[in-house]
Amino acid sequence: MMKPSKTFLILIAVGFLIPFSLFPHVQAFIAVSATPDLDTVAITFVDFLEEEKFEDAAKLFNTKMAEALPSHKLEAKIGELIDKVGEFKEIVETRITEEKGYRVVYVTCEFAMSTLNIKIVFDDEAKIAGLWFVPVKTEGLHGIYIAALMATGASVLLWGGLVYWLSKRKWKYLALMLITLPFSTIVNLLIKKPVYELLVSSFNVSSELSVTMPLWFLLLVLFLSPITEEAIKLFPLVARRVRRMIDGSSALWIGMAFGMGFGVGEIWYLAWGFSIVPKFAGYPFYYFVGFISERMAVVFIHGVMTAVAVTGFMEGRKRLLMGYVGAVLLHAITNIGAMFYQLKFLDETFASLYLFLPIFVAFFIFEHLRKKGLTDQMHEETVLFSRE
Amino acid sequence: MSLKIYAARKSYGWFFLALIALPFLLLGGFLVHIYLTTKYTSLLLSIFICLGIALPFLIILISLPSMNYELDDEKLVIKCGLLKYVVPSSSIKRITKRDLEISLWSGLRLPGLALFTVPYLDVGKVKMCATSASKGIILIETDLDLYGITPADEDEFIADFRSRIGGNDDETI
Repeated sequence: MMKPSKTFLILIAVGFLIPFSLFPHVQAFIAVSATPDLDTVAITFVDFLEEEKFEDAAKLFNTKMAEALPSHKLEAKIGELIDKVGEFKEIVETRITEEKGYRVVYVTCEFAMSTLNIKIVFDDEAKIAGLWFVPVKTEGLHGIYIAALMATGASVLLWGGLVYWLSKRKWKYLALMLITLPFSTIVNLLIKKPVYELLVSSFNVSSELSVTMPLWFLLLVLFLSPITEEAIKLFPLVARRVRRMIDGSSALWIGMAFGMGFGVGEIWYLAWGFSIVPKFAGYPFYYFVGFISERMAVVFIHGVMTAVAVTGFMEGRKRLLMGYVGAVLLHAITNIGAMFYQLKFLDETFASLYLFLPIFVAFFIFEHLRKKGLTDQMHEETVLFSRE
Repeated sequence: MSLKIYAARKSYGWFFLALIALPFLLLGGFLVHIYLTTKYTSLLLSIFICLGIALPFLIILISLPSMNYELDDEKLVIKCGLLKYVVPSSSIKRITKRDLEISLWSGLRLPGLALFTVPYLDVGKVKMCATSASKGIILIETDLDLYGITPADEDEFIADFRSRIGGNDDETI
């Protein structure tokens, strides 16, 4: 009979230990799931307030709360609030927590002039026992900037490390990333924004993307970023000194460096964009986990897109143009998911999952370019044994 | 002749395995904690991904000390934990030592470690069980497959293999 190895027994032990270590959490999760859905009650309450159904809203109060804040007083309170923060726009998110033994739901709501948390405290019978309107806290650094820092660190470590390692440990390629760092902000503020505004005003369409827009306009918008961004990423090639650095073995790494530098710069440009949107104020960094992972992937894809054009440059100007067109197409393919999300064709999850396609394509192209750059530099081989 | 077991060369592969596994394990635990407090259902996917990544790396980390190469008159058995390749000696055509050009498509390859089938840009797919990803790999070529190993005592391993099988002397290309 086969004797189980020590390793196998250890594996079994670890395999059991991990689920058991998670068991208390799972139990807690099941316990919470079994309680009434406070999220739904809180949202219903806010919906009643929005629809000015104050009597219905007050029915969700427990006895003490109903005595302290009857429907007419509630109506007056909401009136005062609307005067201060403007009309109600939308519920941004809900968050359940426990404070001093009470279950509390924070309903973050966007108003015309501000974002507020409606803090709803529930008693044991899932009746509302307390109600506060509190400003969204923006303690210390904005969460998006912490997320941007994490995305930058992870991208530089992962992709920068990969370029450094595969290029036989050459720091100069990493240093080239610095050149294109500000290019995203430049192209977005000085080129894309004015061009888009010009298009919107010239063709008299709404600035918010929608399916009612003509297809040619949507295609124009889809290709606006690829055409402008891929061009500016190649801008360093204008310098003769940079052009002289490019040869068969360096083209890929120089292209990767320019693209990745642009991608890292883009992280910060987007982070700034998020930071000025009121509804994101006070969000903790972990709310932007999707942003971090998406940006990490995009930094690599940016690198590959530019590498396609720069390796084309090695074979003459005509091939540079072909490389540029290839980069534009890959960029457009990458942006389709985000555009479909804006057009509400895809939800957030599917738009994120879509990103796997361009990542896969980028990896494939990257490996192809590496193989092409290997040329005849074969490693020395020592034959230790041979049948012949 | 009796069976002889050759240990794999020492490496820092374990460190890189731990470097991947532990942050994912900690992040997974942290996300579990946040989920229990906030009930963000969007965190569930991240939790499963984190723990799903950490677990296989932990298993390999535990298996790493068991990596060895067993040589007898009929076969070479390459082992690491649950990974096991049996290579009949008669099927071995050539053994070489060289550096390999790594590819991004990989089974499991880290600095100081390569396991399972790993594609390389220059030699194609190699069944690896080695404590190096690309440097100083002993490549064993059979009719069907290519195996990559890194015995600690290469000279003794090759001399032992030759004495059991017989073959030509070293040559450098």
